Amino acid sequence: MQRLRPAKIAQPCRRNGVCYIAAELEPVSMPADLDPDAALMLRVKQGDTAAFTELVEKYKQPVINLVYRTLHDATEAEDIAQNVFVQVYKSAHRYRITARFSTWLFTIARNLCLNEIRRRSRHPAESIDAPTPGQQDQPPHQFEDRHTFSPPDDLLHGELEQKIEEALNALPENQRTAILLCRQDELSYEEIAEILGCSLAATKSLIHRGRTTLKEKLKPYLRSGTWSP
Amino acid sequence: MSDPNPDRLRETAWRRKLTPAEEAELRAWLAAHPEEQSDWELERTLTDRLFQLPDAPVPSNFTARVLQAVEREQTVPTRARAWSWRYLLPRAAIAGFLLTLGIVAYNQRQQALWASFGTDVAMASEVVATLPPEVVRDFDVIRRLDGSPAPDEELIALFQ
Repeated sequence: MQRLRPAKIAQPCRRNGVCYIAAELEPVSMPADLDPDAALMLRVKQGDTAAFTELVEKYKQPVINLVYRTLHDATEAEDIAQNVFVQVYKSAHRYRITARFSTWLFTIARNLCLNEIRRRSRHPAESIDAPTPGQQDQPPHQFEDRHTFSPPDDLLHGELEQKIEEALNALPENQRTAILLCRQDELSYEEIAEILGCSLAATKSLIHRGRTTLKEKLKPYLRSGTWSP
Repeated sequence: MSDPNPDRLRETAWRRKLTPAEEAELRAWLAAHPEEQSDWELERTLTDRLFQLPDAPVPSNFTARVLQAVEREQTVPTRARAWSWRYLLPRAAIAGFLLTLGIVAYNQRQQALWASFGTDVAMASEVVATLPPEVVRDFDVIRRLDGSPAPDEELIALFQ
C-alpha cells in the first residue's frame, strides 16, 4: 500500500492532520520582473481582481489536469481546483516573491489533493461501480452507446490513452505527480522538488522509477505504437 | 564536442525534445552504446505519449465560479463579525450584569454576617464583664472534663 508523505509547503502548518497553506516559500532570489505571474500576484495582493482572473485563466487547465489525475474524479477535481485558487486569493496578503508563482500554486494544489486523499482514507465511500464479492471474477458490466459512432482509429487511440492513464494511476502519488509536473514547461527540476518537498536527487529518482514502471507496463504498446499485450 | 552525458540528456528528454546539438550528442553516445538504443526509443515514445495525454475537462464557467467563491469568502468573515456583534454583545452585557448583581448580593450577605457576629461578640463580652471572678475560676477544669467518658447512669441511680 502506498504510504503518503505528509503534505508540506516550505513551512508546513498541520493541525488535526490537515495541512494548512503557508504562503511563503524558502527564500530564493526571484525579482518580480523575472516572473510575470508574481507581478500579477502582487497586484492581486492589492485587491486587483482582474489580475486574479488572469492568473485563474492561465493556470486553471494545468491545475485541473494535476488534480484530476491525482483524484480520478472530474467533479472533485473541479471543486479542489476551485479551492486552490480561493486559497491563492486568501493567502495573497501574505504572498512574498520568494519563488516562482507556479511553484507556490502547484504546491497548494498538491497539498489540497493529499488532504482529500487523507479524508477519503478516513471516510471511505463505497463506489456503486465497485463489484460485490460474488462478482469479483466477472467482467464489469458494459453498455453499448448507440448514439455515437467512432471510427476504429479513434477507438484504438482512446484505448491507448486509457492504458496510459491506468498505468499512471497505478503509480505512487509522488511518482505520478513528479511525472505530471514534468509536463509543465515552466517548472524546473528544482521547482518540482520544491513542490514535492524533497531533494533534487530524490525528485529525479522518483521520475526515473515512475517512468521505468510505465515503460515496463506499456512496453508492448510503446514499441509498436498499438496496444497488443 | 564534450563527452556526452547520457543522464543529463535523459533528464532533458523527459521534459522536452532535444535540440539538434543534443541530438547529435546523443547519436554519438548511442553509436558507442548500441545496446541502449531500444531503451532510448522507449523513453522518447513515452515522453511523446505523456505529452499527448488529453487535458481534463474544464467547465466553461470555472473562472466565474472561482470569482464567486472568492466573493463568498470575503463576505463570510464580515457576516460572522456582524453576527457576533449583533448576538454576542447583548448576551455578554446580560451575563455581566447578572455577575455584578451576584457579587454585590454576596458582599452584602457577607457584611450582614460580620455585623451580626460583631454584635454577638460585643454582647458576650458585656455579660462576661458583669460576672464575678469566682464564676470562671474553675473554667479550665470544667473545660477539660468535656473529653471524659460519659457518666455511668446506672451506678448513679444505684447510689441514689
